[in-house]
Amino acid sequence: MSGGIQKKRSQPSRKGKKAWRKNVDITDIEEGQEELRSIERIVGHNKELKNEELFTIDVAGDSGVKRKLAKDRPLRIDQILDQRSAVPAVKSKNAFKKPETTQVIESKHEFKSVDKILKRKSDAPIKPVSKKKVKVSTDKSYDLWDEPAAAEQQPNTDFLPVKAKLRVPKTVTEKPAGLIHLAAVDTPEGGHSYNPDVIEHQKLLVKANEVEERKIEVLKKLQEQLSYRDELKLLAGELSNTEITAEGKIISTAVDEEEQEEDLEDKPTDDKATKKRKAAERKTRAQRHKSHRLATEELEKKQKLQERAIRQQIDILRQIEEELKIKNEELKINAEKRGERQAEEEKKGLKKLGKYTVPELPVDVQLTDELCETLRQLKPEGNMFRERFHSIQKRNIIEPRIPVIPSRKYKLKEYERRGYKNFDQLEDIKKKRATNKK
Amino acid sequence: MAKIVKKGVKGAAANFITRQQALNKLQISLADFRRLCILKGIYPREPKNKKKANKGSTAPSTFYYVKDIKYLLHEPLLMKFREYKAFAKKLNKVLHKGEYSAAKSLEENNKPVYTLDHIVKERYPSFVDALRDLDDALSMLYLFSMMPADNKIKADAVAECQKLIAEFQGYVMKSKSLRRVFFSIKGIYYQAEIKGQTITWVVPYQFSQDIPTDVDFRVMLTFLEFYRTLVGFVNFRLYNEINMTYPPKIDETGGFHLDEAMPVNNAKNDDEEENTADSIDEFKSTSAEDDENTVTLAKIQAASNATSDLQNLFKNQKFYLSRETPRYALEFMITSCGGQVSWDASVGVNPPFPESDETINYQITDRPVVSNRVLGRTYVQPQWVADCINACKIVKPSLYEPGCTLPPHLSPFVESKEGDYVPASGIDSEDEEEIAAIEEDKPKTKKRTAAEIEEEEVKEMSTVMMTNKQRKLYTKMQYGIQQKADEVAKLEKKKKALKSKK
Repeated sequence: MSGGIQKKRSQPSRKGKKAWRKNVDITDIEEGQEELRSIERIVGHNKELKNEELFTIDVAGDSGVKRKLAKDRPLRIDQILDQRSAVPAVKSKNAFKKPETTQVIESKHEFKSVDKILKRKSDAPIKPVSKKKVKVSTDKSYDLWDEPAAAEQQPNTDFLPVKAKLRVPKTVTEKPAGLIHLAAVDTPEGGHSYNPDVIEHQKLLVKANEVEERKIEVLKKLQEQLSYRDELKLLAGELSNTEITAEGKIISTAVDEEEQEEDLEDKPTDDKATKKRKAAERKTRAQRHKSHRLATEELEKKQKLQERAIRQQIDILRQIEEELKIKNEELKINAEKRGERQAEEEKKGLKKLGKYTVPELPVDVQLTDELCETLRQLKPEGNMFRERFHSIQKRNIIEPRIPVIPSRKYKLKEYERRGYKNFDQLEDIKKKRATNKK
Repeated sequence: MAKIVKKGVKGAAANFITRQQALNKLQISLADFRRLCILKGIYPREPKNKKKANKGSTAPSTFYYVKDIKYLLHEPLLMKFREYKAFAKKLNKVLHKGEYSAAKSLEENNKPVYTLDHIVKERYPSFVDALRDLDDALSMLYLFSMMPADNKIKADAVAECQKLIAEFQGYVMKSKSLRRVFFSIKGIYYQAEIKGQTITWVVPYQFSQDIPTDVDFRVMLTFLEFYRTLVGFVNFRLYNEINMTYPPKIDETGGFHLDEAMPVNNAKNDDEEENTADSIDEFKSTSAEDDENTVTLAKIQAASNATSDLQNLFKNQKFYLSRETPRYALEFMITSCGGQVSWDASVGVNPPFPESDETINYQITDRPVVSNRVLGRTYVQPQWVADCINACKIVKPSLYEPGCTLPPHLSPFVESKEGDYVPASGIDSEDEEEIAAIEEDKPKTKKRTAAEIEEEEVKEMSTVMMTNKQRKLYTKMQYGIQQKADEVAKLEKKKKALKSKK
């Protein structure tokens, strides 16, 4: 049974109604039966049909076959062309081909640009009728400060709500002190003339010199603070010679200072001595009484002295009053002066507005050898832009600002990729190859 | 008990607002805010107690009044700035796409345009207020009129500056209001008097100015924009006041010379001048009693005489400017004092009369040596004109001969106090020298009028009544004054000695 022959298991079983219906195909039998029944419905149960009634002869012919046969036929045009005429035909180019209106596009770039133009034309909106641009003339054609005659009465508009006029706050008209008191254009001093008087010129030079000296002083001070001071050199020597003991005392260990060492040695350093000292700090009753008595005596003495002073003062009361008067007057005068000085300072305008101070312009002056004799040879000093801008800042119209220079917060880091590790060497090799080739 | 007030409701904390808070309130960018503040005249303030104003923090910040910022909210310019921002975005987008024709049409049709007329009217409710701020405006305009047009400075801005300057100079020339001139190393300072206001402005020399990097240029441009509008209106009003049409026809480009053929109504002006002169005379005759009144009136009369002298200083005099002299300055100065000017054809267009004209009185030249001198003409250096104007009289031209060392050019703005040494520097005219000589010859009279005697007695009495302290102060003062007077006398003596030596 279990020989070499294996059973075919391809055929599914047909046992049973379900399996039969599933696996057996009886559609053609069914169709045949349907046909017969349909004919029966028309013709009838008993009637027998003849051959002529059941079958017809196709006379028309198959269209597919017809097409196939038509394929083998030569084209009409070829037939016409085969009728070779004695007269030769006119040779013409391809009549259906349109002449090339544009040049052949050779590069991608050209293609793109042409495309763009095409797109632009299609994208551009329909141009409206362009209104003639009337050049607005900047000439003023009316008087701004003209007081017009009383406005005409509006015809009966009391039903409309009255639009409240905008009230200008008082603070808008308040100007800063610098703006009120400082002139917009500073009058120049005598030394600023192109052909100045000697005295005036010297005055101006002195002024410029003072400014420069102040700058130098500031620098000097800074230098002093930053430099290494001479006293520190001595200190270094001292540090090497001194030591700090266990108790926090500074002892100099220099060989020269032997006396100091002796003194130090005399001071009590053992435990017994400290104990003694501590014991000695406890006061006896007698000592307590004594110190109390002394203290009260001192207090009494002080009080007595005070009373004496007061009595003395009463004697010279008048003088004291006068002195006080004078002092008060002096104070008053000083206060007045201070007030005046403050007012003067205010008039000069704020020196610091916001974060930064208003910078000072250097004094424009020409040195004696730079002075020229004629107007033609004059070389102007100073920059008018800077002066105007400085004047604006000085009068506190603008707060002084420093231009923000972009700077890096973190230092740039440089990396080298692995592929470029031997970059230089490769470049050298390439160069050598190129030279060798030559 | 006093009413409990919450913190931060009253006082410095409620009156001041920091810049950042202001930006948040107004919802504009910092650059726009700064522009708006400059245009509207809102200034940063300094509170007395910064810690209170900043609600406890002492970080440095700029403060503004809260009321000012709230007032700014109503400004129509804010809307214009926002519209411009939107427009700028659209334009940028179109430009980056490369659609240049669309960008051009956008800029022509959709750009928001604003004017500053209402701001000028708000800031200067009356004409005199505007005149007070005119010196800063003029200096700025002069500065920008010489700049080349580039990325930041538009060509039409520069052209408008030049036009406004020419118009203003034309007005000063016509109304003859120039009072003082000073050639300094920085530029030329002018002082004019218009409607009782003294206006001082500075004109840089015509060399190319370079823009320094530490100057914020956008701030300057904002100021320029505002001042252009201001000076435009001021010019209009000034021209109306002297009955001239505005805008006047300007003759040539690049020069500040106005065409003289303008419809001018001068007859009216002359009548008005006469009337004022008569009124002054009448006033004097009626009140001759009070000492003080006549003194001040004399002063006024003297001043008015001085101005009329100045206005007719160069009347009927013809000047010719050499090529090397600064025409822009000298023409203005001479015409403002009534003179007639001409120049070389290579310097400007349409000179009124040529160099060879025989009626020329003065020729202004700056050369070391002058060849081909014409008899009958006085040759002077440019400083002569300025010194004449400052001194209000014709100064000796022989001191200003071409090639010789000029006397020092003194600043007319520095007013010498009493007792100070005035370096006269030989600017006496010929008449003055004679008078000085006469005065020296006169013997000193010991006669004193009654008033003088009385004065002296009053002084003596007061010295006796002084306390010790006051007397000490007084003597110290007198000592100081005496020292000064001694110095002055010494210097004058020296001068006389030098003169006699010469």
